[in-house]
Amino acid sequence: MCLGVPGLVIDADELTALVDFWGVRRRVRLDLVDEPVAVGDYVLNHVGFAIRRIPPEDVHTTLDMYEQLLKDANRDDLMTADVRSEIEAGSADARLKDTPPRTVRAVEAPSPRAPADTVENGGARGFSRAAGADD
Amino acid sequence: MTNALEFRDPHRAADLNAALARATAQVGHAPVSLMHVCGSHEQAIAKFGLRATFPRDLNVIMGPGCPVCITDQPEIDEAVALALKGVRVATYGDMVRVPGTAGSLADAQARGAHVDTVYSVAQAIDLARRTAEEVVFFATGFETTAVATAAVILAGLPGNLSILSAHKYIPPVMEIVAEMPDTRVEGFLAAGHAATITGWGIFEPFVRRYGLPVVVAGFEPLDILAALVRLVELVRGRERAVVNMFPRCVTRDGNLNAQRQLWRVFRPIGGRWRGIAHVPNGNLRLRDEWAEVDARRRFTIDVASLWTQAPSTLVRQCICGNIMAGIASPGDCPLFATECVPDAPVGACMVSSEGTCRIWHQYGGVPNLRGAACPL
Repeated sequence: MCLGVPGLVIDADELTALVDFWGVRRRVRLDLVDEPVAVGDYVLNHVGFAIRRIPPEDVHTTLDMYEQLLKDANRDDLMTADVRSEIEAGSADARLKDTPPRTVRAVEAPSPRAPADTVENGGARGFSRAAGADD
Repeated sequence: MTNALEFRDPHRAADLNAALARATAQVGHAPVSLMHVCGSHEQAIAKFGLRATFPRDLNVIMGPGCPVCITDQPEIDEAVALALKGVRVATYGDMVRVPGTAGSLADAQARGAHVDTVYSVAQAIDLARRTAEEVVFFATGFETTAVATAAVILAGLPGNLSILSAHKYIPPVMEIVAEMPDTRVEGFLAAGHAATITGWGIFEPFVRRYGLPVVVAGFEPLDILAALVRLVELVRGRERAVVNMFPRCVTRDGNLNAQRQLWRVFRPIGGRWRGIAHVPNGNLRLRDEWAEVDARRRFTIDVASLWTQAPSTLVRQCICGNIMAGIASPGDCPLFATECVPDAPVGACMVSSEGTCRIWHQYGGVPNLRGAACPL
């Protein structure tokens, strides 16, 4: 549970953010994060709460391990299961009513703060099904 | 077992392994014993087979880093007692199966109690809003989850929801482990995401007092290797320092907003951690001003009624406590992978995905990983 999970903010109000986790969307709470969070930011989340806005220059490195885990590991892998639990910790009730297709392009346009290639290569790699939470 | 995952940068991994071997050999004594205090670190170490690549004279031990495991039996008994008296209990997944003195929450559920698994305290709030029943959130975990509990309390809970806090605070237990005569730890690897909340500065008094270096580490295999190299170098140079090797998430002060909420809601008190000892300031309890949402004040919790049965013979043989104190490995336990398996766990360390026994059971431990090249 200590692992947390990073995700891309695709909508935010003062209290919560809708976050995309490789095509799975969950609403997380913003009570704990210590700086303003905007659409296009990546945040690190733990038990349904954003705990840190990830600096844009660190996004790619941060996503890399999670992407490998979700892509390559067995479904019963402990570490991967913990990551999936972290995604499921967000609120599904607050999913957008018209959930867009779970495709690699489900992410929004990159924020001006995030280099374009970060989102292209890091935020939207082709394994949205790997996250498995919506299957 | 083979690992499907590979290093992002195998050359860098090889360089780090060589540096680790060099630094370990230069320490001047063997073995060099380091401790980490995080289930996610153990998962990564075991999953990526890192111990197989460590120099033989380097011991990397998992200490009390599994929040499910260190939750003491009387705390589980409180949750079980509440569930058995008809209160609906919601808690994080693995807690449901951890045995208390007389059974687990899952056993209570089998006897008709209402027990719900949630991934977030926010889901316990949703649950309470959907029912008229009294709901208790059995709040477990370290500061990383305690801050979430604090946040929802400050934001206001539904009237039928209260909190049974078994939250633990990691920094004080490092002192206990450092003082244990049998645990000869020479340096600590601190968990990156706990330090995201607390900041790395929190380890400075510990380093001054105990003279042991602390390195804050991320969770990628390369992060862990790089942090271990740095930690062995600090041991070699007898340097008393905190080094932050996870700067992309951890700052000196940490997340001040989260810390403010944590300490407005909780106060640290002494208490037992399963298998470790009494840990001064190691438990987080609700401050008096939150008495209204404190399940211990809202309900009379009769745990003594659960204490009539003696623990089973198997439970008495479980060495979870010694494993969490870093003085035994799962392989030292006669029950490991025989009577005690993930589907029928005897002790907490085999229940939780962050428990040493469960992790070693899935990924293999030291002997398996060292393989034929180093017959043990």
